[in-house]
Amino acid sequence: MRNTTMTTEALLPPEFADLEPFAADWVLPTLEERLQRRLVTPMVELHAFYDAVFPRAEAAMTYLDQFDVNDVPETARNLMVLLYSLSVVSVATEVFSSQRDPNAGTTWINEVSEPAT
Amino acid sequence: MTDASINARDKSTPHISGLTEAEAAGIQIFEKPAPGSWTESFGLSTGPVSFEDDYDPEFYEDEKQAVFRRSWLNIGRVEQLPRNGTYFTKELQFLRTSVLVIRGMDGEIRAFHNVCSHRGNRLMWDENPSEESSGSCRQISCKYHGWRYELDGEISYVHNAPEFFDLKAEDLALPKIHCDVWAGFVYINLDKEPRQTLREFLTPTLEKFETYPFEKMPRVYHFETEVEANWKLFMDAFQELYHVPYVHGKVTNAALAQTGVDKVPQMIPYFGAYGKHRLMTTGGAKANKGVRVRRPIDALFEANFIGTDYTPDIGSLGDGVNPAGIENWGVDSWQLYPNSVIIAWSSNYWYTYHYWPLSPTRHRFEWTVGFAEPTTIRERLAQEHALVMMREGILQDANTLEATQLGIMSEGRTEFYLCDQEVALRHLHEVVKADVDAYRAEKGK
Repeated sequence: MRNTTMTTEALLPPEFADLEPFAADWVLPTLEERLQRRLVTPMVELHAFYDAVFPRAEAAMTYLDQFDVNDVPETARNLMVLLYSLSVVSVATEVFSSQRDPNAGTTWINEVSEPAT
Repeated sequence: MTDASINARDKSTPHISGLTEAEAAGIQIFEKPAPGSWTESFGLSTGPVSFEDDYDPEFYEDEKQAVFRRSWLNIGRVEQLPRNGTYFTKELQFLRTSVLVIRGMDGEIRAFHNVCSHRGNRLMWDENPSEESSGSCRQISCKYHGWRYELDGEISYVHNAPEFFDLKAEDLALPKIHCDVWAGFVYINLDKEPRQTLREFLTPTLEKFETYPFEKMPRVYHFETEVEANWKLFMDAFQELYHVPYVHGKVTNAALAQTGVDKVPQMIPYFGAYGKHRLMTTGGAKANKGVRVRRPIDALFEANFIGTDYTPDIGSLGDGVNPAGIENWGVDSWQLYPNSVIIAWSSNYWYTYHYWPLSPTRHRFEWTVGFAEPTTIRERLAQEHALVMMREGILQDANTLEATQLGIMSEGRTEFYLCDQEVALRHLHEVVKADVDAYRAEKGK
């Protein structure tokens, strides 16, 4: 039978299909990119991300427990990076109620390099 | 005068209210050395200070000569030179100097002025000659006319050499810059003859810190920014904790829920002066409750803005940490003269800060963090969350600087009041001023 629906490769493990809508935007390879994403994402969307991902985070960490930190399959790695993004987003939702520190003016600290893995 | 007696004064005269009873109850007090204050134990005056050294253009020009051209400067780490033939350049534009640091075929690390002996062209650069570069090479070659140098700086090839007059190889080697390595940090000294060796400059206590296992914490993150403030003002921001309840209130204000007091003053258990350098040792994560923050996300990832909850096992920390032997050691923050900081945390990660002047009122700030290799994904997540929160804290420290610079420069007032918890910054400005004064006296200024 011919499949007529559009299929795209899932970024996350099937157990976390419910978080898939956030993956395209938030599975970003570097901290700097995740921080930049927070800056340009409206607060209402940051709250939606936080409210969806935070309650699933412990399950995600339990799922990730099965892997060696130096040998993480791609979908699991994406899930791990989504949790990195949860950390970045929490600064807006838990601390500042804003995409950035309201007292920061134009100050920004650029991440220039990070470890390869 | 006690706080109570200040508060009891007639309200019609100016008075100071200092600590609320609740705040006072939250303070962790530490014994001070004779003669009763850190400031006096450092041999410093307790009077008001001037911050003219943070904007005056003439002072800045003399400071470059007196401080930066005479002190050992930390410009990198040995990990940036992993193999023979690897190099990096360090742009010190405020000194009009580009330093080429290279590991020779003999494994030696050497530093040269990054300038060709032929027409003065900058030698090693990638797309933009004023930007730093790194890589590896077998020879150092000039992009202009193709002159080449061995990795020890000796000239090896001059294109169409017979056309030149009286070329002597010994005249053509790259100009050397004094270079030494301590604790894996690459130092240079731009003086013709350094007044002290690097180890003399560092003093015996710091020399011992060489045994700290930086190599066991190799996961390095590097951040940079430019800040509209004199370089010393950012040094100052990280050599006191008096600011923490206010600048970092939003990050640390869980103290309110957890201790019932919003702004518990942070007291430092130990300050020490070692030559021109300073050490501030604190309890870090083991300090008073004001910093034991547990927001939901911190609880989830088991980390917060002062690090991971877990402490990786990296073996011995060497015999250089906690030289004062304070109880519940948490952090050593070494303020290294003139412009770098090394911080060793008891949960086994490290920071460095570097502050490079760009003008009297602007500098480039560099922050480097080194973690141990995580052994589980949960450890990796804890590191990531700690990093995110630390960065927010540092951004908050940077935020206040522009306002401080503007306030100082207004000359709306010229005398400022430092407390005993700010002894380290008083020391830095005094040492810089003493070096500038000595330089001016030499030059007959």
